[in-house]
Amino acid sequence: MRARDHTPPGHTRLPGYARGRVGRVVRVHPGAWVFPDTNAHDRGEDPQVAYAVGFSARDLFGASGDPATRLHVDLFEPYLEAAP
Amino acid sequence: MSAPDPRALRAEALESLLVEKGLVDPAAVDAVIRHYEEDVGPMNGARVVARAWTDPEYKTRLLDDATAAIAEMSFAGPQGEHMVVVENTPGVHNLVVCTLCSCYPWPVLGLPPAWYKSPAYRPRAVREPRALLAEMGLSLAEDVELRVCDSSAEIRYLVLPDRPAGTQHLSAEELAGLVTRDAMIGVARVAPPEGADG
Repeated sequence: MRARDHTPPGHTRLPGYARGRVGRVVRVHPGAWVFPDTNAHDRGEDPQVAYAVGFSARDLFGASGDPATRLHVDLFEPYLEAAP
Repeated sequence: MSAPDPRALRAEALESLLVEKGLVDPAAVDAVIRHYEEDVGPMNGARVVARAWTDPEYKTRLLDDATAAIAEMSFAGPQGEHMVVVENTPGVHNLVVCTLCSCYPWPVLGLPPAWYKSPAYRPRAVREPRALLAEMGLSLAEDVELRVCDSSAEIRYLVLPDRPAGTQHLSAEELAGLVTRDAMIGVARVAPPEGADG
């Protein structure tokens, strides 16, 4: 999966460092989750699937990233798109 | 005498205003503070960890559905509704951060320490976690995979640390006494008891 380069004008819970980066789903968090991007602006809960997505520090930070470090980031489905 | 901290003064002024306007009950505020100071704290998480170390079936349940397994021990409440426990092994070390704010599993660890919320910790836990851990006194071998869990949604993380060597003879209660808050965040190891021969 790729985290979208999603920079809405309002609230979001997609960390900046993950935007546009490719990772792999490592866990699907059971249930449906209130979507902060809408809920924070009184536009409803808009329930979404949430995933833990694993990224390598190299993919996030390039050559300065530690080769044996991975980031597990919890991301809502609208933050993600399929990566080839 | 040093000047009072302006943040403490601001919090006090806010509380007085809220009480004056009848928006909060000071007794309720005191009860919440007392609850998190006396009843809830890392000793809860330490009991979960010690049980997982001594009861393999519990450990399986804990890693499979942490929220339910932690509730079995009567630990539940705000900021603990959706728990995931991540296990340290000889090859993998886990570290928990919330880069976006200060999400933290209150029912098992209490309220977060100031450093956990600080700009000195949060970005570095992502950008240079090994250097950060080394500064905090935890050196990891280069070939140990470091997994940093960023609590960016509603899920709260607890690290199940490695059980220290030389503790086979200890009861769950004694083991719980060894487990620290920092080890359950992932910024420290659990030290063996004094006098253990490892």
